[in-house]
Amino acid sequence: MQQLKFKTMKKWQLLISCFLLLLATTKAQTTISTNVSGTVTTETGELLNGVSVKITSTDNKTTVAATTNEKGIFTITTLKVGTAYNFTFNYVGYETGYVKAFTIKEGNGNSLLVRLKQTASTLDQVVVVGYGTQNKRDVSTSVSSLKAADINNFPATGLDKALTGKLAGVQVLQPGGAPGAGIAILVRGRGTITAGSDPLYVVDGVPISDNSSDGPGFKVNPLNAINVNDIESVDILKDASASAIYGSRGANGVVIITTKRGKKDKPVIALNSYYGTQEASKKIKMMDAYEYADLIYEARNATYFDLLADRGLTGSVSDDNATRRLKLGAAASNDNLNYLMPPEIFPYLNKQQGLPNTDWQNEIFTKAPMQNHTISVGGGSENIKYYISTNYLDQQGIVINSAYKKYGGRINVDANYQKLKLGASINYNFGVYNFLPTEGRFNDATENVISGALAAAPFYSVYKADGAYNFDQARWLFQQANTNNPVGLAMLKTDKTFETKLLSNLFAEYEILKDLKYKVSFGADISNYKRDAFRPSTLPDFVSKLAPSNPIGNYRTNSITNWVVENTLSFNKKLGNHSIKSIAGFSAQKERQDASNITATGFPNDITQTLNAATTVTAFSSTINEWSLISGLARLQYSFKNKYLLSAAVRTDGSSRFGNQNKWGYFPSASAAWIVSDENFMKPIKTVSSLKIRASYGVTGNFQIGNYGSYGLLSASNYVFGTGSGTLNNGLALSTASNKELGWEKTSAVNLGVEIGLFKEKLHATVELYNNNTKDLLLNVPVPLNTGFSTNLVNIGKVNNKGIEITLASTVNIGAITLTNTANYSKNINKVIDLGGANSIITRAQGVVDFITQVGKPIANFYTLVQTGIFQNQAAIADAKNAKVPGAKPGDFMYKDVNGDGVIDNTNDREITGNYMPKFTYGFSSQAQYKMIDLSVSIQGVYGNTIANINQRHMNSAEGYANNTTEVLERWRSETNPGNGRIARANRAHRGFNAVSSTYHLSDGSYLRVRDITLGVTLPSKILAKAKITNLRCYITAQNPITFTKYNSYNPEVSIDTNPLTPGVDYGSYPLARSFFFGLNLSF
Amino acid sequence: MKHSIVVITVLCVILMSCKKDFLTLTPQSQITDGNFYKTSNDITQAVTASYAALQSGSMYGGHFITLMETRSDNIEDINPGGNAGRDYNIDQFLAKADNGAIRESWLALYNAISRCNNIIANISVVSDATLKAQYEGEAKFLRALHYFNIVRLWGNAPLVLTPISASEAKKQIRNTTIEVYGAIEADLKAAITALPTSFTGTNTGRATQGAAKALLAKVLLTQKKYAEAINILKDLVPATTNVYGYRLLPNVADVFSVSNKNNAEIIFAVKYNKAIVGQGHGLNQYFNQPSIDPLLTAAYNNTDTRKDLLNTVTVNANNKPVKKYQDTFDPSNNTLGNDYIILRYADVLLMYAEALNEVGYSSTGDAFTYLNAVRARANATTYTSATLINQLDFKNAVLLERRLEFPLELHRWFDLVRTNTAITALQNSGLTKITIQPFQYIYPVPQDEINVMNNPVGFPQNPQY
Repeated sequence: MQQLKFKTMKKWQLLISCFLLLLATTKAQTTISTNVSGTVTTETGELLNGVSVKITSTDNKTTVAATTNEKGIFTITTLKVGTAYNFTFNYVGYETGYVKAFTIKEGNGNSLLVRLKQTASTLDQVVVVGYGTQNKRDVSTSVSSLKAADINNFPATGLDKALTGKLAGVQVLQPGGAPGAGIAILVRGRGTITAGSDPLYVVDGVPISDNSSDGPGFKVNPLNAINVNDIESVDILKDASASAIYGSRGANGVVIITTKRGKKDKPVIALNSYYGTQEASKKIKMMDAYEYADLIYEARNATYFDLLADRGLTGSVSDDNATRRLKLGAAASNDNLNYLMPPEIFPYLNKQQGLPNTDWQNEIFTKAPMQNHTISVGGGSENIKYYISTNYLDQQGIVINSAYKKYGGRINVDANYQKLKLGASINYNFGVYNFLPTEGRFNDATENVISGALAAAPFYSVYKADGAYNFDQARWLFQQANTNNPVGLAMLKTDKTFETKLLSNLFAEYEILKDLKYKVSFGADISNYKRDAFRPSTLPDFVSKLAPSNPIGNYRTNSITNWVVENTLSFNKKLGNHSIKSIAGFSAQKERQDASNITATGFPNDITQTLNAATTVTAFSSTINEWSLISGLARLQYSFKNKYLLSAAVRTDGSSRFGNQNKWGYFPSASAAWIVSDENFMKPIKTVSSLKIRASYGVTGNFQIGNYGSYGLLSASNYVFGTGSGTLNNGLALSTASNKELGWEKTSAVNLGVEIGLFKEKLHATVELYNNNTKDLLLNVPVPLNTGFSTNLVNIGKVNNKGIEITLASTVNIGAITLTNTANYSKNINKVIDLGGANSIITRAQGVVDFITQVGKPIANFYTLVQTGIFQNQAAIADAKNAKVPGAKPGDFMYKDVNGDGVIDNTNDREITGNYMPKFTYGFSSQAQYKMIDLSVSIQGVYGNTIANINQRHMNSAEGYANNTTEVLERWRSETNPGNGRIARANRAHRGFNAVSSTYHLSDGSYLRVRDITLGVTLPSKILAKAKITNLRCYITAQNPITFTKYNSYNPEVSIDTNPLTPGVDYGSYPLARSFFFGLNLSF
Repeated sequence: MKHSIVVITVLCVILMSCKKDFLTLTPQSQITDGNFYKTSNDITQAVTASYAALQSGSMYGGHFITLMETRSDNIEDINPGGNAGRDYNIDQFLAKADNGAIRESWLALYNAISRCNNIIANISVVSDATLKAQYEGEAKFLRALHYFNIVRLWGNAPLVLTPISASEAKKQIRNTTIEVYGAIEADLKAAITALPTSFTGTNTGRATQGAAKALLAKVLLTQKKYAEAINILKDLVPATTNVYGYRLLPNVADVFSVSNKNNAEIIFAVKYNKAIVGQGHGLNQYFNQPSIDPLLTAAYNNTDTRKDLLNTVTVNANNKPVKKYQDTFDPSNNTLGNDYIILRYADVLLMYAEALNEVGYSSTGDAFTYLNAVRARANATTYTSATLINQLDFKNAVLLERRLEFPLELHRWFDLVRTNTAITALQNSGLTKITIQPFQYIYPVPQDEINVMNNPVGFPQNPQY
């Protein structure tokens, strides 16, 4: 036997290639004609039925055709011995295969084994569908996939970064830019109101923990532990039929991550590295000291004159503080009054030069380096294959003293012995987070550094003459904001989290009978966090604002152990035109979380910062949380003639999280697809190279509620019995109601999809329509008060999501340039159908901005006053056409009189003023390859959403107690000098409703962002071969280089509230980084 | 192959068999109804909490004073802007179904009832027969007290006598007052059987058999079941010889003294201890320099020792309570510790006198004896058959006496309603004269409740609200 190998036709790209193996005898013969047979399979050895084989003699004189049978075999009996023939193999979805100049030998030994490679970006990629894989061709549900090549060619700290904007219907939100911070993935909008909206993540078959408990101070990205370079593919199950195999956890979609495994070959060593710098992508233009002094002066005089007018008095802007106190009857010693002039401003008002004029943003933002290195080795023999990698990531934050470092390793091993297969995937990760509070209101207990820098007055220097931090501003009198020096806060506090993560899966598979396999797997997802924080004495005390303060130490641990055992039995069979793939199994999963939290004070100094040095424990807790899940599942996939596809699945889940009466849920699904292009009547239509129509229906659930939601919680309710005044008796009473009937939130979904390939797959389009109805919403709803409670977590209410997703992909060759473009568009329409009898739920975020969730409308609309302009003069205030705003004077805001009673009040004149969910999202990426050079761009955008930038309540207030943006320079000053028409007059104590949340504080959140531009050079293999290098590519990348948006704060993706009823609130946030990297992909 | 099948089968069996326990996880760091109400000690704590409900700011610790006393002609709310007029509107009969105090009191009462229901439903875990009877009796006494307040404040009301889920609650209707009173009487009769005559030592302050009888008498009197009321009251009335030891203290001020808690005149009170965090109360706005009807203070004899109880005493610049509720602030908790008396012996005597007179006027006998006992203790002139010459005179005298004896003790409004004299009393008040209508004898059901129940037939709003 002689093995021949034919080179592939390089048609488009290196990636799209075809390997052929040819087997033939070498014996010489002289017979005229003889039998030639061959087998055609996929790369993975699956037999291909119906492949058309064209055989042409090299002299083009004779042409013969044949087709493979269901065993993938073709036979031709008419070929002449000694003649050379060219073989061409054609099969839809596969690259054309060629065997050139094959000379027919004598005898019956002429046989060929041909392997066809699937074409990329068409129907026939392999797709992971949960408990198995399928050819994309056979998939009858809605699945979006991303392959290693799409992920590894540019720097990304996490998978989320790689996914953003790439897939239709998958919205990746990056609310915080803090190093290592979490992301939120929304698949097809929000179907739930109070339960979680995160998709289920499945890594190498292990559904990982959904525990998002506070690790380093923010929600940790569950995917952080996974090195992007280790990922082979990401598949997102979007419709209910696809995700129903994950039953009670499928309602928000399922993200399946498959890591790389070794291949039978000599070891391939790969190095992926990048190094670069990051900087804040945006700075907010704040006033300098001179502008701010003007604002304070104007604001305080306005307050002064308002108060004088109230008392029928008059005064002058030049009245000194003593005169002001005297006129308004305040004690001579009282400095804490909002109509006095802080003496700090006078040198600036007099335009004195050489004074402190600190730009606090410049002080806290920095250019931060970032690097990431992965080395992997993959290879193996027939029986043992391995993939080993190790990874180091070091990301310094763009805010001083914040950082994330991690060290990771992975071992994936596969072993075969006869009918037994064993495998292991083990991922270990050690991460260190340096956390800084960067989200939330300035001046609150979290000591937010970024909001603090925006609010801080430029009159103060960062350091005192002796080099110590200047904390004078914390004690600023005159009712000015007592901002703690943000640089001092960032540098002096320590807050470190150490994270260890182990993610592992071990499996054994045994082929009981031919086609019948039993598989058992054991997965574990273990996370441990230790967080150590210390607030030293050098920071001013919270109350006295003086240093030294009593140091505060905090130590928390959080340990999460999640294990899952799965047993499956699978049976795959092809019989003639019928093909069956089936699987049945059951699984058990359990999670335990142990958390502790200790806060202590009374450290003698700042030298020893661990709690052993403290003298007083001020708060402590230790808690255990558990959940468990038992499931049974079954799925049958059937295809007839490879073009009529049916699939049906059912899963049943029992969960500890639900009430006794509703522990079990059943989640059926079914789908069908028809590959129309394989029908004979389509053959003449040459422009259409592939066409598939599919439809699916399924039911999925959502179990993301607290672990013990069905139980009523008790809290202390003590009482005194006994003689005299009595002694304390401990009492306990229910503080929340129980609900033994608590069950699953169920989503039933219909999905229709069309996939079409045109012009020999040069253009491929997928269009999907879906309609998801979620019922039995887990809602904390008003219940009859006669239960003794006002709200209760119940299954009630309905939400509908419907939408459309369009994905276009094209690959064209223009000369030597190969251009690949993909574009996606998704639109989701969300509507509340029922809230269990209530018409609306009004919720408040951060104590200032209201949301309404109302039947017939989307979830969580902003519910505010509508600012319509500014009263220009007294006549406008008196005009009956303008609704009366109590207290308003010229220069204050006018509002829409929603209830038409002629008077504005901040309850009855609110209306729906926007929603954080976009009208549509889109993404575009383009890659050009010209010989050794590749260039790619990806763009992502969101349109039609609204954000409440409530930080504007301070920095655009024109009140002048905290620094304001330069937009406030355009404030109303008089009827003849009305500014930009948006900003009210300066006034330290606003009359009217200027400070009440209104459309003034809302902002259009639409944006178009160039996420990355990458230019790469791959060195020619001829040169590399001498150095025994297989592949060497260098690239430079700019990440987030440009964002087009009208949004007036750092990042329009922001949302500090995780409550689904209050999304899209920006109260100071970590800006997104703009980064430039140099990277290297090397393998040998 | 056979081996594998065996292994699979075994694995299946193992996993399936542990299924039930595997899915039943009870919280280990939180106390829930899943792991509470399991032991006798749990019930002890649940009973304690059922008393604690009385201290709620939506009950005796706050709103009840607005709903039951400010509503009457005794005092007036002088802070119309406070809490957006919440309390003022109740005082002035302007309150609508969205009034916060009405909603919060309704909710607090049903929350308190749910505490009792949970005790009664789980009482079987108490193995000690005496304790079991006592706890059940206490829960039933408190539940009866709550329903008595509910039925007097709102009329028809849903009767919830077992722990119920939200969906069950949604099926509730407003039971008639007759049904509610029936449940109250049944609970109190059970409590009378179950409760001891007295508690001593560390148990002082719990509801006793005497408290249950006194409350039952009040319930019967309110329903004008005079003969039955007399039958109950006669166990309580005989001074010094009643088994409960109830008697009038010689000095009426001593009844309210914070150094004389649990005295022989007190039958049942909400207990406080200002020295313990969370067990003190703030000074109620109506006890602090209240605007008292001048006709009330004028109605006292000059010698009447009760008059002085309405004079204020200065604790500090902002706090000048009436002497009845005089206490000093605890320095560390900044709270007061007066017990709020719900039932006392003077009430029993006046109820007895009233009931006897309703059955038939008698120029001699117990009705005069006990009415005069109350007056005599206060150093007020006593009545004779010459001053109260007939049943009506006597009836009016008792009503007046109740007004003089119990101002700021949450009896006045209910006395006016049950004697159908509220309309005239409010028109003749020495404070703002208000014309009210009979529908205003009861409050509107909270609008939230009407909305959630959404059952205009079975769960309607009170007429004209």
